[in-house]
Parts: sequence; structure tokens; C-alpha cells
Amino acid sequence: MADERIKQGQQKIWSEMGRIMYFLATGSFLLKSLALHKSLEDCIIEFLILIGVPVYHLIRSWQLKLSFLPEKGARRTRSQVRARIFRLAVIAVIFAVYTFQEPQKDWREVLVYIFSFLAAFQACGMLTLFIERKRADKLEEEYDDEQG
Amino acid sequence: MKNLKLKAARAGKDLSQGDLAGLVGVTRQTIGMIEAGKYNPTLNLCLAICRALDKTLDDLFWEEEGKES
Repeated sequence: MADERIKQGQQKIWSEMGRIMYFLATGSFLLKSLALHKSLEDCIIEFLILIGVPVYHLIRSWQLKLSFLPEKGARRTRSQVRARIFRLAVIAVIFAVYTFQEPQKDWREVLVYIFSFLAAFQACGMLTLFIERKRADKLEEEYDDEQG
Repeated sequence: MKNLKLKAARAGKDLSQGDLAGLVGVTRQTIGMIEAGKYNPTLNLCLAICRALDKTLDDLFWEEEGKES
């Protein structure tokens, strides 16, 4: 029997499990690469999950005509700004730990590497935001009733 | 908030929770949780329940003024 409450409950459980698995894969990848100094080949499963999950998220959101952008004109809240700064700081710390574990490396070289990564990360984020904004506008027009 | 109107309408038709559940295609537990106010059914399920009990959405699912949560 296709009980909607049971289906919703199952979907919620699977969604939670998926989220837990994603965080476990992230933790495993960080542990293997930073603490155990494993190569990328040894972390291939985690790497595929880390790359595959956002890609799957993007593809499915396009298929389902979902846009996760805030409404036009809505300002970022303080907590969103703090979360963004925190994420960038974590990424910077992780890379700093990773690269400073090799003391023979010049600290300037490491710093350039970190800032290059952060710049690339930010650029990708802004490009994604721009593309997503265009798509959101297109979806709004498609389903706008007022234009008759 | 408990849905006493649904419970009364079901009793008025002399249906058990299981009977109503069978008519609308859900489990007895789901009907019980709707009546207890622990689960918000989708619009489709609300309409199915209304059809099964020959009632309207207002009759069964509209909150009375002053009692909205």
C-alpha cells in the first residue's frame, strides 16, 4: 500500500543517511590524506563521493526545476556570511596543514598555492551563482501567471 | 491539534479507522495520526478522505477561528 506518510518517512530517512554518508566520506578523506598521508588512489572512493554528490545535486535540481537561490534583493543574513567565512577558513587551514607538513617547502609558495585555490574556489562559486540566477529568472518567467 | 471533526465524520459513517484507511489507500496508523493531529496530510489525501466521508475540505480540515495554532 502506497501510504504517503510512510513514503515521506522513508525518503526522509534515506536523505538523512545520504547526508551522514557524505560527511563520513569527507571525514575519511581528510583523515586519510592529512593524518595517514595516503595517496589519491587510496582515497578514490571518498573522492568520487565528494565530487559526485554536488554534481548529482546539480543535475537533479535542474531536472526538478529547483532553484536554491535566495529571492532577488534578499540580503545575506549574518549567519550566512559567518558560515561562508568559516567554510573558507576551514579550507585554508586544511591546505595549510597539508602543505606545511613538508617543511622543505617555501612558505611563500604555500601561501600562493592557498590563495590561488581560494580565488579559484570563489570564482567558481560566483560563476555558479550567476548561472543559477539566470536559470531562476527563466523558471520564474516560465511559471509566471501574470503575463497571461 | 486534534482533528475531532474528522473523527466525528468517520463515526457518523460508522467506519473504523481501518475501514477509512482502506477506502483512501493509507494505513490505519496514518488515519490515527491525522485524527490525533500528529500528521499533516497532503491535499490529495485530504480530498480522498473528504470524498470517502461525503464531506468538504472546510467540514473536515478548516480550523475554526480562535482555535488556530
